Amino acid sequence: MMDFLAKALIIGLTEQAPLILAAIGMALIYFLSKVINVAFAETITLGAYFGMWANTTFGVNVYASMIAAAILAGLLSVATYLLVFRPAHLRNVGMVEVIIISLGLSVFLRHALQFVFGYSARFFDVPPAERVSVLGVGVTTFQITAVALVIALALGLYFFIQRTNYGQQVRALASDESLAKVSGINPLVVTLMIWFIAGMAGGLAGTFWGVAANVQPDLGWDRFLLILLVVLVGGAWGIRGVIIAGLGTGVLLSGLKLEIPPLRAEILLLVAFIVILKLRGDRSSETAKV
Amino acid sequence: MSESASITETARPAIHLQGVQKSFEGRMVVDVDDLTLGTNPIEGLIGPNGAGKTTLMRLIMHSIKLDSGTVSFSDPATPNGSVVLSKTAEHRIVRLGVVKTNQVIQDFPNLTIWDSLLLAAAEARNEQPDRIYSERRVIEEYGDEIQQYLDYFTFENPNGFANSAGEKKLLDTIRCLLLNPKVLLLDEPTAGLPEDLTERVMELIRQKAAEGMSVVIVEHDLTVIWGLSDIVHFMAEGSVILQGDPASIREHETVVEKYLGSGHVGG
Amino acid sequence: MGGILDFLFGSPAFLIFGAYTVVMVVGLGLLLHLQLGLAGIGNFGVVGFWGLGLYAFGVLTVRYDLTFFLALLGATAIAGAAGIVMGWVVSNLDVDGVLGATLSFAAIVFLLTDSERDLTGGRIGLGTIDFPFDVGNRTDLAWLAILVVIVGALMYYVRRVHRAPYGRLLIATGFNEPLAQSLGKPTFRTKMILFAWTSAAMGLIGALYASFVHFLFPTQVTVGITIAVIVALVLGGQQRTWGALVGALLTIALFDIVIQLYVPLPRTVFQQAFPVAKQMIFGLLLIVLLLYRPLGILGRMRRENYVRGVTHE
Repeated sequence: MMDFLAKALIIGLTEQAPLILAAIGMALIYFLSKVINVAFAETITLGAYFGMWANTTFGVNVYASMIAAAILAGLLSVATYLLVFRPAHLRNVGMVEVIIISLGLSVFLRHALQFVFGYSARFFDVPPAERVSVLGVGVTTFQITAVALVIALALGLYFFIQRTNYGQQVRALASDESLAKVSGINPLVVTLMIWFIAGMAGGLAGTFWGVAANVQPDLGWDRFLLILLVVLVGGAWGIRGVIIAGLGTGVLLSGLKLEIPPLRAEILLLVAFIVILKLRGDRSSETAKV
Repeated sequence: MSESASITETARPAIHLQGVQKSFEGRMVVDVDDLTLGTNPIEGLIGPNGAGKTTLMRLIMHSIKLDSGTVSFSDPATPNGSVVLSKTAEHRIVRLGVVKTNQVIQDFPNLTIWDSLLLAAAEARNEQPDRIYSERRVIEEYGDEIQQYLDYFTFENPNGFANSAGEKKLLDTIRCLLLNPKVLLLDEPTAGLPEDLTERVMELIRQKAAEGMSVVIVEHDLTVIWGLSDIVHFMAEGSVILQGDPASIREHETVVEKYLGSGHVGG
Repeated sequence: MGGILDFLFGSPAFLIFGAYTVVMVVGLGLLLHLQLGLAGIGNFGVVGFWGLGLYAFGVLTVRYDLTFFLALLGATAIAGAAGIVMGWVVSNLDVDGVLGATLSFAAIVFLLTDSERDLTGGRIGLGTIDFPFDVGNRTDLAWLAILVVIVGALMYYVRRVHRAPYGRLLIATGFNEPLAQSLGKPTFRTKMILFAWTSAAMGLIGALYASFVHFLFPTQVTVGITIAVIVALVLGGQQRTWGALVGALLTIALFDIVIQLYVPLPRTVFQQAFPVAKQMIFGLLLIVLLLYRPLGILGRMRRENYVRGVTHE
């Protein structure tokens, strides 16, 4: 039993570290700008494409392409904020409408990229990663890198948000925008920073998935629902909650797939998601005006 | 430290609050040990800002949840005894006959004045998915009554939308009246209204109270309170600390100190 | 191109298919208009209920040999049952919760078409589902006519709803739910029941599609349908009865029929680049519309035109 748990934990963590990265990215945007950005899936996808492009065009190794992917995805994220989400915020677009807008952006990016990168799957040009045994489970060094990155990002974000000046501004802006502005915080700078970091996290996640399998237009979209699950379930407890939820989801999914057919495992997970959402209830009605 | 109410007619529908407490972010906003509302035709509820008057009304309507205590509604007309409002959904509370207007102006975007009032008046049986020809019936039943209200209050564009804060306030009040409540909670119904309309609202309230409706009215415009109320409850810092007829309340030291200033002393 | 009859009866299959798709999207759009445009329910899982009806009909017909009407009834009931459950789930959730729940539901339906491949045939497909009657090689046209009648009736119903107390209740629920509750309206129950019967109707439309395409594949049950419906409704006007129709004509009719018929592009372009470009444009449309003209072409609902006070009789 303990052996099974340990196995599931290791497999879950190493297979799903990118999921946790992606969830952190999406959660940053969700907490600060209060939007579910469906097009974040495409930030992930394009991160993979950028990494693959750097790798195959310039022949750089996978770690260098990860850096390229992170930076370019971060810039893309900032661009989408400036061109789409900021105008939406300034025009007081309603919540459902913003989600539909982000869905539109997702569809747009997912298809526009095909004119640049082609319709069929692309591949990273990297040598197969070395395998290492951790507690009896075979993991690749690349996967270990992913886990290391998750830990680094989580710790880095914790220190940034809780212990630095800028972090304080982020917290102030997230909790009460008008009050923050009055206190002299420049919401644009803070917001751009967070969207950039979120984009980087997404781009890195995309690269990991792209290396592990292949790079195709639906890379991010296929995983979007899972990432949304982690963000909404863990989101009540901040970034910490998202990380734990991501870990839990990863372990649960991997564990389930060991026992039951993978499609049914996914269905079961989605049913659990619906149940949890129902239990979560209505988060928006805390202030009654009637 | 409460002076007992002195006017009671035949038994009226009444709201009983017992041990009701509500806190927001650690601060106790309402703390009412034992209060009964509705035994008199018109009761006033006054107090400084932040005293908890609106919160109290919201707790009665169950649009926000109590931290502890009970709110119940007793209606001599129904044999079942009292209903625990604090365990009942808001829309059912309205169906039982307890209705509240809104302090902060609330309206339905896209709905015209007639829409708003027909909405309030229409019964559930006409609002079903298969009743797509029922509009005629609803207008036949309530059109005259609605038209009377519209004529009484002279809306600028009665066939269009309410276009000022004052009109929306009035609309709020008329909607609630169309529900034929047994107990009507009015939260600052004349705020922002010109003098003549305030008079009309007061006259309407008097009439409805005389017809058997119990009215509890929160107001900062004290001429309305003194002019209408049979008894007045004074609330401060979450509790009702004084009750009595308007004259005695106006002269009470604590009330003057905490709220009135010298303008209203001595009748 | 000759007379109307020639046009109709000499028309190639894809014209009928294109027209069928337009009418179908109008039907789904009318239902989404009730859910979202009036009652404020952000349902992102339209394809889930439509697809459930589609596959339920297919399974009941092919695997259980039910007659057409029994299978149709069964498929509609199954979609309706899912609608009751999902309606109960979403009717007191915030926008994020509704998104997550409805998207999950649609994904579950899609996964089921593959995971239960003993029933559904999985990726090999499910078929053959024939038309329940046969009028030679114009049967698909007859089927289109049937759908037009059904969607036409639905449009008439929606138009009446706007002029009925039920419509007012839905609008009040969608635009200020707490205020509606304070007037004694049972908003949770209203939304749940609305969701239930509109989902059943979506399932019915899906079930009819099964006979039209004869073969079912999981790839039919993907988010593309949901997006097509949302784009049509947003473009035409989500608050208006005619919104879905206007939007569907300007998107699907324009792209799938007019451009394919009249714009001379090489065949390879049609196979690959055109569908991709179409989706790109749909995505862009959603962004631009909701930023700069969120109420679409037809704009806001104009209830001041419906006022029939006592004095107006």
